[in-house]
Amino acid sequence: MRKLLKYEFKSVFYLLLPLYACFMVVSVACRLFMNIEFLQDIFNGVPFFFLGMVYFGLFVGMIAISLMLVIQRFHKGLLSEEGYLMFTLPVKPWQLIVSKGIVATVMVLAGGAVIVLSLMVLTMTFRESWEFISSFFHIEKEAWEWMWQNFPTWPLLLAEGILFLLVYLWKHICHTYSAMAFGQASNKNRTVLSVVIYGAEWLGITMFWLMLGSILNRVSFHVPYSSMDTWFDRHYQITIHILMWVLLLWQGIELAFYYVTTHWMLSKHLNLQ
Amino acid sequence: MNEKLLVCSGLTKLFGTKQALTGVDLTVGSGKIVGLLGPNGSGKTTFLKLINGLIQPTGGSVLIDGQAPGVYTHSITSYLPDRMFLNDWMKVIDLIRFFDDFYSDFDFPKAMDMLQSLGLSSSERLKTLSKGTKEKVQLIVTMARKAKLYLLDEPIGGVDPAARDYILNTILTNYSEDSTVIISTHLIADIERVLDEIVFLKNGEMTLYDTVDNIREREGKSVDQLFREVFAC
Repeated sequence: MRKLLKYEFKSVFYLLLPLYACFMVVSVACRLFMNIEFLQDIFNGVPFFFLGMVYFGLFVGMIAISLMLVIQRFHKGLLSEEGYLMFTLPVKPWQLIVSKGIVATVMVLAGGAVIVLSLMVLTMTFRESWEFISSFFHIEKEAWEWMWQNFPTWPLLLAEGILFLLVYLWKHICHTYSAMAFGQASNKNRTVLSVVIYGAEWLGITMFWLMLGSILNRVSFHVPYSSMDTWFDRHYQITIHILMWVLLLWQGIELAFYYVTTHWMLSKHLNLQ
Repeated sequence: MNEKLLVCSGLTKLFGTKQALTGVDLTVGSGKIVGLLGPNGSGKTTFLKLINGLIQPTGGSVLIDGQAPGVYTHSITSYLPDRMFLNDWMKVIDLIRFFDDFYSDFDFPKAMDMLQSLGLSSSERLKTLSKGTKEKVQLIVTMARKAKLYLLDEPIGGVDPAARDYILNTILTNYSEDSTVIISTHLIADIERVLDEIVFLKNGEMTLYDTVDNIREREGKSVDQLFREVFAC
């Protein structure tokens, strides 16, 4: 797995790192133009306008390329020519899928982090940026005390939140993988089939939850709402954690479905033509 | 020596309604160079893909060293596909390190020697290489392994005669005596001299499997001549 990750990270970041660097350089240049008035007026503001357009283009491009790379690295890396190399390695299909998924997740998070950094460069001074970042680590003493007194399990909630974000991201990535894995089984019109499967899977899962919700709605728990409210008031921390785990379970079930279908297709119905 | 290195039983593959391979029964032992011969569209590539698990059989089975295609068989099989599997961002040395990382039987110094004999720098980017040179690089990483079974799909197709000699010499000088090499091609004359056994595939069916010596003795002609007769349009 470590070797697969090394290879996958290299194939993605050889393209993304220069793009990130370029985006940050343009962000700094934009900030300079915004701060220094006489630069804005050079040639009737044409360079400033041009720089703004470049920034906007790179901003959109960063998001588009990151999303395209998630699809391209799976499609080109496993279901096209490169698949002849990857599927003849002495590794299991789950390792190929998981390594692609991990790298895609890191790629999306890294893209998001670069965008936040760029917005900080544009909108804050260096001092403000530093204070903004350090504020995460230097929370006021009173705030700490309040947190520990009123919500002592907040570190657990933070961990649950991070886990939820990861599971949510993986689910969407795996959904795309699953659709492509089904599409490759076709001898022709693979792209069209992938798009159709993507929609069908989403529809199927939504219908499943709606039906489950409808069934649960009909079940009488024989618990009066007033007593439930009282219980929630007394145990609000547990309630929030339960809610987080219900959300995690919900997303986890969807993730498991997409992962299992992807794995099943690539291990039992691989069709590299 | 393994007398049953590759065992195919009733191997069948359908693409939709098109029969690509029909009930192939074949057992190949170790230490052989086998020619998988047939015209275009006869099922050679399909057969090699099935052995590698890149497509799934509609019927029948494949066993390599007693196991179905999977992690173990990939670790003992070295496959050269009929297309480029190279990732263009890589340098030649990256590809060699990649193979060295994943295959315990990969011989790194041997790969570097083969590169040197080709006059190719390991620091060159794959995307800057010509198609022919890329094919040679793929052949080098395939043959630098000490595999039990080499599967070479059209290794001499689409290259000039000088390159064909280079490729055939690379294969002959780099495979170990107890390994088996299966070479698919329709350019019989060029490889006939190196073959021990041949398999004829016609419209997805195996029409002949015999040693080259037997064929010459029985038919009184070369494999190339026999091929031209059998597959005459």
